[in-house]
Amino acid sequence: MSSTSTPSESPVTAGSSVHEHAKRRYREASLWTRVRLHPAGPVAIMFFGLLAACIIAGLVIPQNFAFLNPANLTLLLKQIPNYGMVALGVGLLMITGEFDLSVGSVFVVAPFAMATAYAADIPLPIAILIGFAIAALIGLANGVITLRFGIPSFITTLGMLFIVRTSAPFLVGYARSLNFKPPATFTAILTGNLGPIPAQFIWFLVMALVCYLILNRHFLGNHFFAAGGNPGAARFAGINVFWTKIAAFVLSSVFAAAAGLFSITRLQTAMTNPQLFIELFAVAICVIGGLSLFGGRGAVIGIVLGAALLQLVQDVIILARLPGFYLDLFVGVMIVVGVVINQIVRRKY
Amino acid sequence: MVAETGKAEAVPGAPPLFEARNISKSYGHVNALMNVDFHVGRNEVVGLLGDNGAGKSTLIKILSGVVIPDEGKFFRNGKPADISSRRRSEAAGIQTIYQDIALVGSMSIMRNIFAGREPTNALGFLKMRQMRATSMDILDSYVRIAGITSPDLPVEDLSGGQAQAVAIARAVHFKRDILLLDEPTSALSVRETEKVLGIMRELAESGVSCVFVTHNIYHAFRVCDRFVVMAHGQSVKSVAKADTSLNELTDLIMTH
Repeated sequence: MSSTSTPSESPVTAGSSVHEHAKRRYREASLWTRVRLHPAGPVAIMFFGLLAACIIAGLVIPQNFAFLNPANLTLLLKQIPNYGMVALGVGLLMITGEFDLSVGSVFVVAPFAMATAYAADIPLPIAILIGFAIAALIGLANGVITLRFGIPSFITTLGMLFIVRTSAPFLVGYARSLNFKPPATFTAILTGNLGPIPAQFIWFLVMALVCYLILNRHFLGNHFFAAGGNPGAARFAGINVFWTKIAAFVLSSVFAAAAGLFSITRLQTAMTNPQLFIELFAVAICVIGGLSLFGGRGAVIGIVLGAALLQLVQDVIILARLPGFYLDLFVGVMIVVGVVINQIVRRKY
Repeated sequence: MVAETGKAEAVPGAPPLFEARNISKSYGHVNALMNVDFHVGRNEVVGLLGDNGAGKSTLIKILSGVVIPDEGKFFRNGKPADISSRRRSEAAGIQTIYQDIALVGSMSIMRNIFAGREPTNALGFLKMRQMRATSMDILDSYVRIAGITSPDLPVEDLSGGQAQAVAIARAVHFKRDILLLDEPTSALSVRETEKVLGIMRELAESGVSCVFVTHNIYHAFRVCDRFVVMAHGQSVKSVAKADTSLNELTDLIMTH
């Protein structure tokens, strides 16, 4: 603005007195506005509603519905991270407008590589790094293929799901299992207990916090939302959409590998046979948690509550001695209902 | 309401804020622009008028660095300027505001304002307090549109005029002092059109010149200090508001 010829009232050079005025005129959005606009609103209502019902039922009929039994609660907390950790990475990527179905295979193959390396007397930290590097490479491949050739990531990662799923059994044999016995302190730190709370659940919360910080407090998150919400506008604002999405693809894969590491540490065994549908449950958790399939919309708390809701329902089914397929039925209904609710909420409040 | 026009100063001998000389561009056999001279003065709202195919949008694309002309020179304050890419054009102070506004609907006003230019610490974390304070200042300084109560509102909750105002405010805050507004009022209600016209006038008074591309010569006549009429890839006439009338402008556009 050096060329401005009007002496005083240049808006660009406006001083701090303006801010006093601005503060009177504008404010942080009210709590109600923020809740109303929050993508995790519906899932929060569902989760806390069901939780309240469970607590009441546990108090009223403890002998038939042992929800408040400490063993049950600990088990519940132990199970939430299983799909939850994978869903965190998938959710970050979904916000950039892309999909990752290959996480189901990365969850199996990257930790199997860690266990293989560790069995070959490679030091544990390096063995783990090798597994993460493989995961990162798969994520990079997903991203580059998707973005360079302009194909839907649904297709790229579906292909990668099968390719990666086959590769480990192809190299070492199908349904092979491998002992994974890291030092006891390592096992305890990852999968032990802190009082009644499983360490895995704490790690899940830590990972969720990291995701929150990336999404809401880091410039990368701003770019994630922009790239997913309106790629054209993101480019117009000078954001490199290609590298932003590549970063998200890599993160998604790395989170799946981390979830797999927790799994093999807990089981003390790595296996090549796939965990069926983990990628679909991860996507389901994100959708139930209020993330948009089209990108640009979502919150980490939604993923956490989505993962918690899924396990809570499973717990209810077990405690009520209902047949197991009720869970799949619930997930199916919730995906559809979740998307419909999100549509309605966005359209009108 | 729109302020009175006509105070654009003309310091004799001073070079204009931005000047394009002898711009030519052809696409195959089609001469989109032929030896067009165009300039923007300080504190000026220039109306760029002409029928479809007159060459207005080619000129705008060239000025915003999207299209490279076959021939032509550019000057900012009389000194040669490079606008051969969008970034260079922005560095020369030029920003285009398109009809379909380049904002991310699902993101808040604040996050949109800083998209791609986030103030961060060494680790890349956002300086949230600074972002919020600056957004409030930006909204207060340039926009002042009723209905925007918070920089945290998502852009998709704004009306077309409000979103346009936010886009303009963002451009002005990041030191662009020449705004190219391509049909900014075509999709707006009457009330919002008034506001956007008013914003253009205020910007001109405070040192941000505007190029207003429009089909609506009534809107143009309300706010512009000067009119450039284009036809068949040429600049037919450049005339100050004081020296012309609505009828004459209409005739100019119709007869060419």
